[in-house]
Amino acid sequence: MSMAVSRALCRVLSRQSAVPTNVSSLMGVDGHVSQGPWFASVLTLKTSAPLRAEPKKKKKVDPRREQMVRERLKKKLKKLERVPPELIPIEDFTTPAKYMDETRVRGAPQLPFEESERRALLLKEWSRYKQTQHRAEMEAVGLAVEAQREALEELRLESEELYQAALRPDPLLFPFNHQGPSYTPPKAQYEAPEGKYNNITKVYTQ
Amino acid sequence: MAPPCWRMAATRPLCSLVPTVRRTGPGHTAVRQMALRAAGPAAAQTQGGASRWRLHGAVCLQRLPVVSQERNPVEHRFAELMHQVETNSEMLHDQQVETNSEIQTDVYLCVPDVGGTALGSVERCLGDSLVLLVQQAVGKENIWLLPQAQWEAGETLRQTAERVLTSLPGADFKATFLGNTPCGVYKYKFPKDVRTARCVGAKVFFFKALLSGGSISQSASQKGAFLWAKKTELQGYLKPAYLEKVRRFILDL
Repeated sequence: MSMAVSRALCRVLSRQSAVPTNVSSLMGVDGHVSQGPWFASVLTLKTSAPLRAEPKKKKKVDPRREQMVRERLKKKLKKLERVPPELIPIEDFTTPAKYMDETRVRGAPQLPFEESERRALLLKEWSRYKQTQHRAEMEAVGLAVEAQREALEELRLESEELYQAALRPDPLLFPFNHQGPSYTPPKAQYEAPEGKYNNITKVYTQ
Repeated sequence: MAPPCWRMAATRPLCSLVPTVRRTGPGHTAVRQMALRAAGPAAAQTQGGASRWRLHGAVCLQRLPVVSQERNPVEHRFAELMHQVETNSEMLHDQQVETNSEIQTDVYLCVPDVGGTALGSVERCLGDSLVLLVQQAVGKENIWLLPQAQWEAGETLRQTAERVLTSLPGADFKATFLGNTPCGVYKYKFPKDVRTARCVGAKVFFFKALLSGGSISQSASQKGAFLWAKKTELQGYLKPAYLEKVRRFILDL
């Protein structure tokens, strides 16, 4: 039966093809079909699953495989999260590049002899002035302390009660605030006007 | 010899009473007053004379400088030198790289003391610290001194000084007292005709205070009852012995 089918097929194909087919040679002795490369695939009818049209088999490894994939992703995420947060840079500690520029440096001046002499003498005069000032301050403080000690002595001679009251610390004195001297005298009831400003500070988030 | 014995005798009755004073809470001041009054006659009985000195509390009210002082010639020259040295060690600013010139810094002028502000005005000599002087009747004469008042039993000396400030006629000053301790003392004996066995002289205890506000009424300033004086001007107003003691604790720094 199959032999007849194959012979019919060969005749059809030989008519169609231009290649002179050695049908007779192919048919060969005893009508035995020889295995050529092209015909083989046609002759042997393959029987695969789609052709067979069987229902798909679900592989048991699938759900576990998906779970494994998910776990691996989670582990990778955790590793990434474990990285310590980036440190906020302290802008005061980094010298801007423009200050490293050498063209901005002023050259050391060449001082004439008189100028350097004048400077040296001025420095000596200044040290003398400061020394007298310091001595005067120390003396003044010493006198004030002495005056206070005398006052307490006299007070003790008078009354022990008042003396003890004088020695008690004053809790209301601190915190003590006082406006120091300014360059110009202050205006009475002066209200400084509020100004607009653009805040350009860089805010870093971790 | 006499003073130590007297002191010990005076303090013993006080010491016996003081523990009772300390134990009470709210009624503290009331009990203390009683203790003081009890100690007085007790001491008098034991010794025949409590302290022979009258106590006064006085206030040294200072107005600190409002404006910075002008520079000395030395300071001026030194400041210039430092400015030269420092600008030389700096790098050029952005502007200077292009224009190649020196940056002009603002010169702040110190306001000089305008001559003509009254002696009684707080606004005079803004660059120096001033002390309040008042004319008071002491004994028979009116003299310039730091405001003072006699101590009354039942108050501390600092409270006396505070009372002095509030009771000054024609002015209300707001001041911060610097602690409970007196900064100086002036002891003087009365002239012989006023002296009694009980009371030989007086001790004036000074307390320092810094002016924080207040004003003088028109009438008082016209009369010239108040005077704000620099340390160098005190000599013209205070008595020599008094000045000697007062000068020590008035700091002109």
